[in-house]
Amino acid sequence: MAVAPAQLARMIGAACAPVLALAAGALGLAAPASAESIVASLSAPRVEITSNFAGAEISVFGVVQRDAQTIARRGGYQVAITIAGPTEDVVLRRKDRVAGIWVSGEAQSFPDVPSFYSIQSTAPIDDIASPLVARELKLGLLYVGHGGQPRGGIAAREPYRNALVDLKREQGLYVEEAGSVQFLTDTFFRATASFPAAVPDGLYTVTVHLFADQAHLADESLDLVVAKSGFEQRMYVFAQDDSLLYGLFVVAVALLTGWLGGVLFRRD
Amino acid sequence: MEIYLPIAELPVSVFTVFAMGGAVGFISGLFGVGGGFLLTPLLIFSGIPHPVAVATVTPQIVASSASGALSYWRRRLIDVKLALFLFTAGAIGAAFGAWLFAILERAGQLNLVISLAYTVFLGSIGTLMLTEAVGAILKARRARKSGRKPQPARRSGQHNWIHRLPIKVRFRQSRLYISIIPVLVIGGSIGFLGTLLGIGGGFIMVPALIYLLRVPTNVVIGTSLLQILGTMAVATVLHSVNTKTVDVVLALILMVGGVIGAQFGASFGLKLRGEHLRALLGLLVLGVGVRFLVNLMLTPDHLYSMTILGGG
Repeated sequence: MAVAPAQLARMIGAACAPVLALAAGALGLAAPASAESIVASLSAPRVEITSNFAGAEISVFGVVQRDAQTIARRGGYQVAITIAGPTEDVVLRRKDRVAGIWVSGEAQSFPDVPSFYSIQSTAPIDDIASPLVARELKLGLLYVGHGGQPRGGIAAREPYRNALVDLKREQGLYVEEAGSVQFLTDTFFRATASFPAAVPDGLYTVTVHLFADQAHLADESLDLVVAKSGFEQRMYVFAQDDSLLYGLFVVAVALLTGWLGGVLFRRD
Repeated sequence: MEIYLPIAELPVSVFTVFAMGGAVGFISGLFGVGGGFLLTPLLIFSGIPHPVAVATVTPQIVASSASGALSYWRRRLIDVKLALFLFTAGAIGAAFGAWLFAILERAGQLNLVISLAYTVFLGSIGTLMLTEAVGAILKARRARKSGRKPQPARRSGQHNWIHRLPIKVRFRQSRLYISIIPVLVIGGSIGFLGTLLGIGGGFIMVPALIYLLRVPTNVVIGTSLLQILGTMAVATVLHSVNTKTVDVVLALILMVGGVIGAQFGASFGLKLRGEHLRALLGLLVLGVGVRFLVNLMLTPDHLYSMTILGGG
């Protein structure tokens, strides 16, 4: 009976899924022990911001590895890839009309939100993972921006949080794409993430989550560095660390340019 | 060709920025003004963040006033003592401006204050300039019709209340013996506004010196340029230290464009009549003010604004 082991595996998987999910929650999201693991890699470990930087694309490749005893899962594998940038503190202000003029009114602050967040998956998250697991792993923009003290209750805060997500989405800094992770074979997958030109620099974490039949099987995390390089880097560090000297330097550049202009185009 | 701005942290088109610098340089050469009041709004309307736009225009004003001041220096048409007094007050005003700028930025009200100040300030100055210039044009036309020579603008040697204030100082080059109180007030308030709004303030300084202090017209522009040069240099350093939003790459492109544009503007300006020039300038100033007002009144695309306070 060729079907029996597969059925058995699925039954075990189904039986274990809630337990695993609970265990994952209790253990602070350590990747559950399973027969599968992921090996993943990036097309480049570093995004360099140079003077002609206009955005970048990074591909994430991965292979699902099974130990010898495990057989292929009937429903196939599902993958969700998240990329999270360094966190930042953000304030959202609602504009109100006062005497015909739009002014900044009430504010809500959101500490420690990712400056960049993208989630790509083989299918919509609802189809891949149970709501419990999705919430535990914070899969999706729905779970961004819930930290900190809300002013005036959750209901009052939600429109601000939505606006945060919308504004970041418009800038290409928040991305949610179902179906953009593709399996090229049964076990080999690939996805391409785009970074807009205004991408913040810092250390990014790429996490690949593996699922099958709604069960969370394995995780793999990779580091991605987004950094200014060369001249841009030196100028930025100069302006940040020696701001007084930088200011004097800018004045010197201005005086020199003005003087050169005055000499080159001498009219008198 | 796009170039990435290291401080603003976004790419801009070199040619667009260069053209903006050139166009404003042309206008500044044409009217003999710094052009900051046009350049800052242009940068803001083209998507550069308010703090970067204001802070980066200050070194551009340094460059454009340096090349202007140089030419007046060669002709000895600068009252250095008066410029120093104006500058001292201007530096203190600039410090206040930079301080308020940083506070407003943290409070998320900077954009609003800049827009409101531009509306009120440019709106009123533009209206004044336009009325004065149109009046002068009409007067000249009437005079020509009646066959008489147009009367020269009233420049009486009579003293007004400003000249009765105490603590008088002698300014030899300007042949003036006046109280330093109005000098310090003018220098200080222009330093303050200039730093807060990213304008040099030449278009206010020049009329203020002529009409309020009775500084002779031949030294007024050079003196104003030297004071603006000093105040804006201080403002550049203050912005660099306080908000760290001065972008040297953006500033350099603007400077080069501005210096070149100013040459063409200056030679073109010689072909136009004085009151026509003033009317055009008034119209331009008023137009920018109205543009800000419209922006404030139109329903914004987004009802929420986002401010990033820094790393979490």
